Amino acid sequence: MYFEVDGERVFAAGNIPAGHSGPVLLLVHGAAMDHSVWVYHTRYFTHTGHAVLAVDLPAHGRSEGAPLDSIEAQAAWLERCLDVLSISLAAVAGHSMGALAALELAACTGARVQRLALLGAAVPMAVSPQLLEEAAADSELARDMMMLWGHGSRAHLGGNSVAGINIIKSAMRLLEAAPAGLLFADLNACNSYQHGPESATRITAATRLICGTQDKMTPLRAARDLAASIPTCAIDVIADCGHILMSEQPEQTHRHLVAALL
Amino acid sequence: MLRAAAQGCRGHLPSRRLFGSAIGVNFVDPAILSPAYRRGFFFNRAALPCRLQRRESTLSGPKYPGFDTLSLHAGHQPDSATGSRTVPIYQSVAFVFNDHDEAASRFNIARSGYVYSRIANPTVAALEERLAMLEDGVGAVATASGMAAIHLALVTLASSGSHIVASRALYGGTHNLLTYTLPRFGISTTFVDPRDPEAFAAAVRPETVLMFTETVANPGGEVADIPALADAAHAAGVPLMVDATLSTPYLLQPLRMGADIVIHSLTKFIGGHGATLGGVVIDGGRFDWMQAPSRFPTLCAPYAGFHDLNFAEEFGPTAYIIRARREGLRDFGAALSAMSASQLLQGVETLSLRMDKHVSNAQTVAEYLEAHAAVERVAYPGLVSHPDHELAARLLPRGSGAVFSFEVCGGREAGRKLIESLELISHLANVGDAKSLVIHPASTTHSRMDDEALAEAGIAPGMVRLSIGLENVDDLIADLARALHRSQK
Repeated sequence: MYFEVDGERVFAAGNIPAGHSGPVLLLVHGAAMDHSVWVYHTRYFTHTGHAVLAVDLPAHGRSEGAPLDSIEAQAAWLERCLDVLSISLAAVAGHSMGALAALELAACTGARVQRLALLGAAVPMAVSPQLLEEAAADSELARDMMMLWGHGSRAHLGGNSVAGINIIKSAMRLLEAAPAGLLFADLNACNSYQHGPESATRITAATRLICGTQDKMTPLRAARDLAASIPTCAIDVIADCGHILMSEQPEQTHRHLVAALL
Repeated sequence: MLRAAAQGCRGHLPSRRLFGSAIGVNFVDPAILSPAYRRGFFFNRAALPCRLQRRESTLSGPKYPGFDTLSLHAGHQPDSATGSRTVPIYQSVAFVFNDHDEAASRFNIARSGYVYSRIANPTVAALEERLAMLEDGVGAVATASGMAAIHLALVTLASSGSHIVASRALYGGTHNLLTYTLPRFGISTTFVDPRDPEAFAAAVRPETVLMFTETVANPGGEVADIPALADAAHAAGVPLMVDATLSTPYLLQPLRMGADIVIHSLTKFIGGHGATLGGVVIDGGRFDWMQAPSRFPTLCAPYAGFHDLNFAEEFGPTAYIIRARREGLRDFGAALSAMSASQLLQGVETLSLRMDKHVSNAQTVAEYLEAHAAVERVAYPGLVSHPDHELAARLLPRGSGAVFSFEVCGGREAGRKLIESLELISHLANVGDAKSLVIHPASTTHSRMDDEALAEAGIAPGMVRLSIGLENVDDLIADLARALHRSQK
């Protein structure tokens, strides 16, 4: 579905059924990605009768607008989405950069976010200077670094549970299709996010961190630190899984996501 | 040991499972870098302890597994239940659901997992993923034959009223499909000069849904200028579909050169032993179907056959290949069997080794024939005399494959004598076998084409097609020498 925020067209996969009551599930993608990273989850929640929106952040996927240059701005934009759609209660899941935006949204809106799922999350989410430099140059190496270090070792030789799909190249195509400068803007937003530790302590939503044992971008140890700083937070660990949990281990991610959001 | 581990890591990500050494694991494992990981999780060399910086210095940058590694390993993890190193043959029609929710979700493409082997099977999926990775594609669907792959690839985009622009130098089976069969279903084709990208572009109509060519044409050996054709296709707003059967991903990877969809007959070099039929469609995932949604309604319009699913909108880069599987295999049903997939996987494992020998033998045989007094012409791009020699050298630096044709002096009758005189080289309708093969295209594979169409396709009445195998090349030349001698009597 399409709707407008700040005069710009926004795309979100999924829908809000007529007469729906209860929390709307809001799914937020990571750096230079889009709604399609949630395709199985969006379809599952939609076809089991839930209201779900996998939103494209501005300048991502099929949404218009310029990239939002900070996590705080992304959270504020997500809140405006809730306002525009008259969503009073949400259950929010975010992946990587999207997890930071979801965390900040939950910290700022209090009880409006009833449940929170953070996938591949850590605060701070520092990004190496080398990657930022390559991303600023919009280089192929930046995209390769994202893919090679973003996925766990298992994913590099395949054997995934979605028949015939090469998950690394599927994610790579999203990076390749992203407008120039978008990856850098997103990584810089992650790198510059300073409020995370403090925001984490203000979260009231029932929260679950979902992380992979082979995550090199937001390693398990950092995820555990984050979980410890969030009141009422549980942590779910997925074995043989890197940072791109939704495609690397779709079934386990599905189970944890259902437990977190419903 | 240190050196070995460092070399092992050079071409691969560090991995506990792959390399098992602390050296291989730790140099980018942020868990040991605390508190350095707070300064940057991502390959931050400055954050590495000195002893690990030294080991890490062998890396020149992140790299993907190489072609041979993927040929052997991609698409399969050792079986968790049995430890089977080889991909097991999952000889099962259907797969058990744990509960109602899982069943409904798998039917509705809402959760991963297997339902019914016509749509997906774990053995076949290993082959599909391996080939997708070898071709740099986002996904693949294997089919019961090469022709099934071409049909599936075409009709995933084309419906009644659609139009295709195709090279006129095509395998005879493809020519039959486009010329005689698809028009019965309202799908028409305009054939153009395979060497003229402008002719491809000029033939595009509003209802055109794709351009189609072969990397190295069968049997004339015309080499497609993939980058130029891709530019022409994209400028016209349509994808470029390429049959890469004769080049295989080892010799040429069309998706890396701008093509959008690749097809292989796995029956040929990829299977490699003349034992198993199969085909595959591989999606590059780069074509933006939504740029012209009205041209590609199968991907961009709600599909009632899946609760109004809009494939392009929901699946993004994998839209085409998901539709090919979930509609094409579901409804047309040309699925590959698990047994066949297992046999084809064995072929993939040795693809590069075999192709090097195929190409080497073909080059030697082609040069021998070109110098022979009883041969009028040899059409092999590896020869300087071939009009596409320079293009082949640029696009196919490892060689131009092992299928080519030649004309023996004396025309059709001399060609018949030659084929019937061969003893080692088998007279049959196939290419890409480990054994050398021969056939007369005008009376067999391309027999449905009239003389004019044969001439346009570059097929002379007396042309003989060879598929050069892996025998000792001296024995092949001896067989040909004997047959050429007899053909001139």
